[in-house]
This record gives sequence, structure tokens and C-alpha cells, in this order.
Amino acid sequence: MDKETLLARLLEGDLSEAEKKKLEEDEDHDLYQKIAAYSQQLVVPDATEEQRILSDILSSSKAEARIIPFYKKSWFKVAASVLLVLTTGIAYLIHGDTRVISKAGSNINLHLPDQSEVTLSPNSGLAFNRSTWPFNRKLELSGEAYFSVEKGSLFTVHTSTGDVKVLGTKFNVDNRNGELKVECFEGRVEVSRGSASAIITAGQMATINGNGLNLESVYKAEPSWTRSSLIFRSVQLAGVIKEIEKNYQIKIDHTVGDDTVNKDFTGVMPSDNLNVAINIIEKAFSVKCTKISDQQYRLEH
Amino acid sequence: MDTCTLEANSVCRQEVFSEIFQKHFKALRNFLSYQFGNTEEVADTAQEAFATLWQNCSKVTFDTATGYVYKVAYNKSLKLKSHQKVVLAYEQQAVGKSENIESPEFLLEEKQFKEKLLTAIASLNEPQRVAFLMHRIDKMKYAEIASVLGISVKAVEKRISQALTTLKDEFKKEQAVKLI
Repeated sequence: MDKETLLARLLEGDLSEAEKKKLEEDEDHDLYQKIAAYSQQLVVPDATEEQRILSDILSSSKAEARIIPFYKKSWFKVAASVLLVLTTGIAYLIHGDTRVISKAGSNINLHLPDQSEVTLSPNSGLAFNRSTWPFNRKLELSGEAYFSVEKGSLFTVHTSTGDVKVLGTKFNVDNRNGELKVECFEGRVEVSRGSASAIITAGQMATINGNGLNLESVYKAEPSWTRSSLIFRSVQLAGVIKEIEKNYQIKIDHTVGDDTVNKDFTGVMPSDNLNVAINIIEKAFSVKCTKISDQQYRLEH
Repeated sequence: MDTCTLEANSVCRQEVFSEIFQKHFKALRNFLSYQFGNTEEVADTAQEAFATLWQNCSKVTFDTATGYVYKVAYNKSLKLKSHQKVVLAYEQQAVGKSENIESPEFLLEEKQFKEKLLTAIASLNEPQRVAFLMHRIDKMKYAEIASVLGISVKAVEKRISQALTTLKDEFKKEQAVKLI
């Protein structure tokens, strides 16, 4: 056995009696032992709290922000200089105009001048007038956005399919595919088109399309697309399942009977990982899930 | 009818992921520290590697998870500054043990030895230092070290024994100077 292996074995602590004797003959034996013993006590000093890091990872979400002020686009600069020459009145109004447009694949978060917050979904756009905002909180939207509006004067979102008016609240406006869908998460929201209008409160959704105006119930505490999560606050099993079915485009048969149906769930589950979402439901409601087909699942005890 | 429940040891189960995390996070962070120092960037890199594992949990098995997280960490570490010094310390010894009543001379000598050991370790070349510390601090077996570094067990033994020899020589150098 060569010296290299002997030393390696010494550190590992698995020398045979014969090997131990051999090493003891080495003049540096004591020094090796001492180095081995003290190096055993070494640590890397660290102040990180592992538990916090672990829970951060398990509940991660993402957000991005990018604003393209209207006046930065080059063609606007040309138009603006021409208009300034014409009249200062019109120039005052256009100077305040802000337009925000999101690309495919990413959200945009922004604050409006009164600290109301907007999250724009991909491929959406909104426009508002910065200078007249304090007097008239009105903006135009195409696509989809989630609003968290500071209490104050009337706040209006104008879309090509209809108008949304609130005083201070959290709501989602979806104006894609020729429909207007408004979900209210907090406060009161008035949704109107022409003479048809409805006032919805937290937990309700209004849809305006070719068939008129419809109302239904929603169970999420926030839209799922603002982070990649479905967030629930004290929702019963049936409500949780309805959101999961909608989000993942599947059907879940859940005739579990007994009092599991009335059990409240408060928590977060991913909107882009069905396996993890199902795992969380199984644990929270003590049920077992069986897959019947790609689109069909069943829950039972 | 196939079951849609996650397998018992699927990395997407929170308890399974947590187990992998508790077992390997510190060792991974230390491993990066031996090469890049105890910086915030190193801690962030270790955290990002595990976050990536969680995001891709459905593409990894329980057995390959550790190798995966080290590989991700390696890729992210390419943008870290190399050759940074890692700061080490000795764990606090329990006080009040009867066998710890030693003479002041002994305690002083022990203190000097421990300080000298830290300096000597800093003088090791990187392959030796990393393998040596993985064994002494993270208590990894030679087979585990070999797997992480992508070398043979024999190569690991060689690096570690060479480290021990170099450290021994550092101490002897000082002793030789003292005698003169």
C-alpha cells in the first residue's frame, strides 16, 4: 500500500491495525494526526437562514416591469414638434399622454400617478393622460389587465366592448376575443355597455359579449396570471376544483360526500404545474386522485 | 386506470424537495465558497440552483436531483470571480469538559497551531483545497466527492493525500525556521 492511500485512509478513519502500525513508523505521523484532528473542527461561518431560503423557493413568483413612455417613440417626436408649432393648448394635453404596450410572454407592472397599480398581461396596451389624471382617472385598455385602485374619485377603464367604473378596489379586466370579462376581487365594480350595466362585488365576474351581460361566481383571491399561482382564501373544495378545472382545462369528478366538501382551504398552488397542484389538494383535503384520461380525473377518499 | 398522484419520491413533492434541500444546500454553498469565497453572490448562486431544481422538478428523479443541482450551480458559477479567499473558522468547543483543563502553554500552542493550519490551507492549490475541505468540513465520502467533481475515487484520494502532505510540509517549514 503506497503512502498516498495510507494518508487517504487516515483521514477517512478506516485504517487496519497493520496499516496503523506502518504509519506510526513515519516520522511525521504525529503531525498528520494533529492536522486531521483539527481540520475536522473546521466550519464555514454562515449567516444564511436555510429555512427562509427553502420557503422562498417553494413559494416563488416572478414579476417584470418596463414602461415605454409615448414620447420616446421616434415618430411621436416628429409629430409633437409639428403640433407644438400649431397650438400650445393641444400640445399641453398630448405632452401628458402615456401609452404602455406589453409584448408576448411577459407582464408589465406599473403605478398610475395616484399610486393605483396595474399589471398588464402579455399583448395588451393601455393609454392615459398623465397631466389630467388627478382630475379624471380614465384610461383606455385593449387586452387584459389587473387593477388595484386607490380609493378616490371615479376610476374608469374604457374598452372597445364596454366600460368599467370603480371607486377603490381590485379587479381584472379581460377584453380579448370580442368579449369583456371583469372579475372583482375587492370592493365594487360597475360594468356597462350602452344602457346595460351591472354592479359586481368581490367573488363575482361579469361577462359582456354578443349574448348580452352575464354574471357568475369566482373563487380565486387574485387572477392566476399575475403570478404563476392560484391563490385561495378560505375556499371550499368545490370552488378550488372549479378554478383548477378552468386553469388546466380538465374535468375533476369529486363526489367525496361527507364533510370534506365543507372544509376551507387557504393557500397557494401553481397554475403551471398540475402534478404539484393535485398533490396539494390531496394533502389538504385527505383525498386520493386517480387519472381516468388526459382530461379527466377523479378525487375520492 | 393509472394513478395521477405523484410518486412517493417525486421531487415535486414538497417534503421530498425539502429533504434534498436540507441535505445538500449547505454542502453546495460551501463547495462554491471553496472556489469563489464566502460572498453574497455565492449564496445567491446556491439558492438559484435549488430554485431551478424546484421549477424543473418534474424533469428530474430523486437519484439524479443532487447531480442536477450541482450542474446548474456550476453553469451559474461561470460568471463568479474565481480565486477568491474562503474564510474558515473552528466550531465552538463545549466548555466545562474536565479533559479540557490544560496548561496555558498548551492552550497557546493549540491556538497557534489552529491559526497556522488556516494559513496553510489557504496556500493549497484549488483542486487539493476543494477536495480536502469537502472531506473535512462537509464530511463527504470519497465516492460522493468523486461524483460531484466528476473524477475517480482514486483521483480524489490522491488530491486529499497530497493536500495532507503539503500541509505537513508547511508546518515543518516553520519548525525548521524556529530551530535556526
